[in-house]
Amino acid sequence: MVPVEDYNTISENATLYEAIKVLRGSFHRDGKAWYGHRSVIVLGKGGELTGILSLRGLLKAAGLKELDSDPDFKAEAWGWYYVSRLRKQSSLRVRDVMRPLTVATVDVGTGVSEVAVALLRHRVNSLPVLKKGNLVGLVRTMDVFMVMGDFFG
Amino acid sequence: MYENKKVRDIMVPISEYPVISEDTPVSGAVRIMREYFHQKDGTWYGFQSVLVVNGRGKLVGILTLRGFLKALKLQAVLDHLLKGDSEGLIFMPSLEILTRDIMRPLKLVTVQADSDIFRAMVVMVESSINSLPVLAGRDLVGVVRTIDMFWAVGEFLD
Repeated sequence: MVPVEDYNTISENATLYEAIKVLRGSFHRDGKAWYGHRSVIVLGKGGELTGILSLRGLLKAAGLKELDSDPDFKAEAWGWYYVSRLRKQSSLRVRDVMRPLTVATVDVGTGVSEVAVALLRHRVNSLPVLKKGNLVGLVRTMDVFMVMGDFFG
Repeated sequence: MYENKKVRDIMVPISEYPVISEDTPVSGAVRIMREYFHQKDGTWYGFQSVLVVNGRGKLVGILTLRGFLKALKLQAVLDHLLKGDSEGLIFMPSLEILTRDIMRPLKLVTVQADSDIFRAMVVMVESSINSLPVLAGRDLVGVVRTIDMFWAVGEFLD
């Protein structure tokens, strides 16, 4: 797992526009290969950890309302319009689109296979890790992959 | 003002994408994927998925990191099945899990190269995937990822 201290953080009151800027600032590229964390830890008012904001979660937010309400939703038509609105509006905040930490977690003692099953079941690529109820880190699909060598060949 | 970016403008062309055979056992796939990982601060350098070809060289699927989660799950099921079989009554000719067992078949979900990038984004969100194969007609020409989409949107905001 990755300790919580290693992640970039953002306030749950930040606007989506600010979130995109923060995340973008943490990426580096080498041709088409990117590096940098794919998600940001979200902090509440008192600095406590309240959620995870992932890349896809950010993009999904761009279409959240429209996807739900319009069966003939035309991505092309609203796409750029929405993005330019993002610059000015401050109504959508990180807390409205993040995945709250309470949705799904694993315990620090959970076995790798169980973590794999949990990641698959919840359709996410990272899960908060608790030790005696306290958040100590994040475990990602990537971390499970890194220990795969112990199970296969 | 209105930028009509198409998927082909932001995708990774197929020529730049790593490829492996569908018969590669999971252990081999792990080794190959690891070549794209260079540990530094716990973040990944390089591609997080590979394209998969069949015996005739035809592209048939995409193997992502999540495919390996599936491999672990399959292995756990196999181990469970065999644990209770002390008399060897269950006969399984091949216990090796192969790439084709854990990849995502291409035909499941794709996007056209001349689609607007927001169309690709909607597909990625609705299918809960981060790497989307790109077709020009029926030919696979590239892969577009959440990160490519994200970067394009960010560029527009600058």
